[in-house]
Amino acid sequence: MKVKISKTFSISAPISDVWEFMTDIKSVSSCIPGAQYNESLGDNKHSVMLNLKVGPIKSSYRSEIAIKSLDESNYTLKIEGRGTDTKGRGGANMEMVGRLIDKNDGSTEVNGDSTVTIQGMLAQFGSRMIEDVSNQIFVQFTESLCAKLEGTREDVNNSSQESNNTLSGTAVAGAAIKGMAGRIMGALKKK
Amino acid sequence: MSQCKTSPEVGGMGHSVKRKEDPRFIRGQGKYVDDVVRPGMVYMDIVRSPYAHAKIKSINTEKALAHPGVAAVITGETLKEYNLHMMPTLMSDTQMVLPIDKVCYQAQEVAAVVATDRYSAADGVELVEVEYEPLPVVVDPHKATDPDAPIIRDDKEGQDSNHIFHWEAGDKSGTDEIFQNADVTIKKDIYLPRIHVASIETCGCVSEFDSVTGQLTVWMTTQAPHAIRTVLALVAGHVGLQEDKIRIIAPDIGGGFGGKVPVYPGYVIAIAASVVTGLPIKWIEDRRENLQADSFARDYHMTCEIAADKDGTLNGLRIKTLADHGYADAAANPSKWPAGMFSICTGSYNFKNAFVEVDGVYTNKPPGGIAYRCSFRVTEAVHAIERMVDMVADELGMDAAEIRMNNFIPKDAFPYKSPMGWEYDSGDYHAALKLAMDKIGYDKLLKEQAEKREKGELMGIGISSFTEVVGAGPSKDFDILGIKMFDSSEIRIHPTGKVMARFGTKSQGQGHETTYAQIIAEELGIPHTDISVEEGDTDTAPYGLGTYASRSTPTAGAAAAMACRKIKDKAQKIAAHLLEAAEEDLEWEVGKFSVKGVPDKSVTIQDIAFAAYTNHPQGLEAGLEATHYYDPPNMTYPFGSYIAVVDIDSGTGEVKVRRFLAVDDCGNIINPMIVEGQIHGGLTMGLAPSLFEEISYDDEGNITGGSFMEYLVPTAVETPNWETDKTVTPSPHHPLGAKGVGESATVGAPPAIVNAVVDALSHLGVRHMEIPLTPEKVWRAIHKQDAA
Repeated sequence: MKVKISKTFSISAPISDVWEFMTDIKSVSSCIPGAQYNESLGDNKHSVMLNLKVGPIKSSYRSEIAIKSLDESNYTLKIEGRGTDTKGRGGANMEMVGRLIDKNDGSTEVNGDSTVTIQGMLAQFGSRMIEDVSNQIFVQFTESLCAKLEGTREDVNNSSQESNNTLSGTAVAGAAIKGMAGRIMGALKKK
Repeated sequence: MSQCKTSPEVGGMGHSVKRKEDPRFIRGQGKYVDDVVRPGMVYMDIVRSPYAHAKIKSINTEKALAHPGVAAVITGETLKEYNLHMMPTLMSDTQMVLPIDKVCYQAQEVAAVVATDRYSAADGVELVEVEYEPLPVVVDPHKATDPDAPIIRDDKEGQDSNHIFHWEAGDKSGTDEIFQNADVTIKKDIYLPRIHVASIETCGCVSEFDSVTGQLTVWMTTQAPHAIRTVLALVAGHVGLQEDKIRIIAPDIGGGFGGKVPVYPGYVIAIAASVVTGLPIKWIEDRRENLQADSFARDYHMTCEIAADKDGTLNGLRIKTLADHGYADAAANPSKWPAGMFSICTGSYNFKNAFVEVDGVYTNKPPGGIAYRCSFRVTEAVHAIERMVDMVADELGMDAAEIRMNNFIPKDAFPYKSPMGWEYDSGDYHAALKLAMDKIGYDKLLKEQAEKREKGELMGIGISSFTEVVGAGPSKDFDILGIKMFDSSEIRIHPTGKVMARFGTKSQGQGHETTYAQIIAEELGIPHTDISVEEGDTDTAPYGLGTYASRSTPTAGAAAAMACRKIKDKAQKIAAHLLEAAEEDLEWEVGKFSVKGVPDKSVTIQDIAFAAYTNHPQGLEAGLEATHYYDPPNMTYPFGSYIAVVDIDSGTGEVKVRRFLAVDDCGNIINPMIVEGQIHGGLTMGLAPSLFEEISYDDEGNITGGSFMEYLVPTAVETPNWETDKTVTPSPHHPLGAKGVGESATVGAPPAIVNAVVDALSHLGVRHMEIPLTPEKVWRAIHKQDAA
């Protein structure tokens, strides 16, 4: 299955800081829940472990993330990711195009368009929840990103450059259910 | 049959005898494969592929083997040592037992873990590490033969595309000519999606090998135990299995519907593992494995064309089909035609000519085909013709019943030779439809529909007047790997007049123990309660090809009648000896021979049985038993007319089947209650794909209908109150005049429901809809939105 995710959000930080952060896979990984940066593979490729729990399925994806293009003049970057479940239960590919826009008020707008292709157990079982799970990951990612770039909060700075916690199944399931409930309510309100 | 020849105590044909098997089923006392426990038994579970198409780079079994409960991990490499990693399919294709270098569908078997208990086996599966390299996937059969499509079966020499076969039947040029000169032609694409039988009992086996005697015993969920035994001897003879030492036992089976005909890799792995380890091994699928990896049905993409005169006379039919077979052609189809009985598609109508062609292709999906209570593609054929006839009626502004009545093969035309070469044995189609229309109040319903339409309410009436073709089959056309499709009955009358009867078929809930006993009761006058019926153990039962495609009554039922007649012939000789009369002076009435004109000078069949062992005439063999192998001279052609009435909620798109009347004609009836039960079950399995069931795949080959969360099986809540009736047109060539009924309703019901839904929406411009008719699809049709 394919999931397309398009997001836009703002960070109260200068574009150069955001660009520097976003093009550093190690830094970005530290903001993704369940992600663990392993090592640089050279040639703009990086090894990252991604732990994910959706409902009954707990997956660890051994992933290779490659920066395919960096265009600093337009603040545009293209990233490709390829992950396989460590237990051989499936895999996922991701293509993402990110673009930064200077809001000229010291803040930066981040636009991200990504397509994730999923194969295996997660695609079979998680198909109903995957969009909501993705959204939830994204919310946690932006929160964490903003915290790092905007604030100097001790807890953030003191944490190591990795976020080891598996994205909590309960939290995600809860958020996903809320997401679905929200959509249903939304649909009802439209009538 | 208007009246019964036997008393209720004897319980021959026509009596609604209560099923002998039900007390044990109702009390939970049935004995299924999973109830079999052997000393020292170990358990097997299977590692399955998450990818639809991928190279296997490595399989690491180290962690699994370190698990304290795990005894062995079996891979393709293990089986290759014994040359058991590949196996033949029933369609003379090949399929993997376990892969060596690549997988071809999601949920394919990759390795098997044997452990001391079921939980450890599952834990072991979790611990096997498989490294894959995903390959491009072929999901859409229409793209399977594109030049840039990846070749799925690159293991097969000379297979340079995903095309499997081209097959055609009928008269192409004659049919083309009809189309050129036709007043009206209609062309429509009709798709019957992939579905799964979802039997209550999943598949599995217990395999036990005695390394001292070389005896292999397999308790197995199979509809065809004898064929399995022979296939095993043929494919595994080289590892020392010989047919006299293979015993296949099919105990109680919790539903088959064709899904328990194929040999799945799990069986072979378990058998191989038990032979290699010497341990009894149990393997039972879970529900997801059953839905995702076992044989499916349908997946026929049909382009149908029909040619008619202005007055609605049907003249020509053309169907071009693309058949999605998955990664191997493993349809359990014992006919000599790759598309089975699909050419029965001219149905109940007197067409002048017809032509069909079918192309089979490989895709990255599980192998199989036809396994869904269907006599080898007759469901596809009936769906196509019954939809097309409605489209002609719609085009010409004719009534759906009228166009059928005008085009039915007339009663006096039987035996009728169809343009495709089938010889229909008997039928009275007008009578069946007329009865259905009278009983449901057709004219009144039409009036009601018109009134409702005025008010904006959606109501539809749908008819299906199907002809089935069952009882496979005559040896000239049917075999399984060369073994002809006869079936058998062995009947032994014990000295006390009680009977043990054994058959080559295997009930999966059809009630054979009762039906066969009634046939013997009818023929010999022995009370059905004195007759024990046994099937499924290859060590004791006579050789037969098993139960599927509504073949048991047409073949083994006939064999029982013929064996009884052999017994009766001998009984007459013994009776003559006992009555001191000439054989030709005796006459038979239910249960006894008497001297013509001297009715009180008689002996009962029980007296004769006793004499057969205690006082047999000199020169005649002792004992009273007979065996018959029945090779049917022709197929039987049950038929029926079904009428469905639906109401549709325009707000939600939900279809409610308000009434459903089924008039069936399966020839002479053995047990009316069992027949009615078969029709109820069959109708429910016809409703299922019409409204709910579909196994679908996304573009990456992920199964999106692989659990009961997505694969909706109707429950009592969704099932309407079935109304049934019958006409009786005996088969002229079956010894009992019977035809078989197990599948009629599943074959006939879907077009009635679809025709009703399309009828309800016809004033909105709807001409055709593909099943399953989900609320979303129907809602979109009402609101004129394309399907997502």
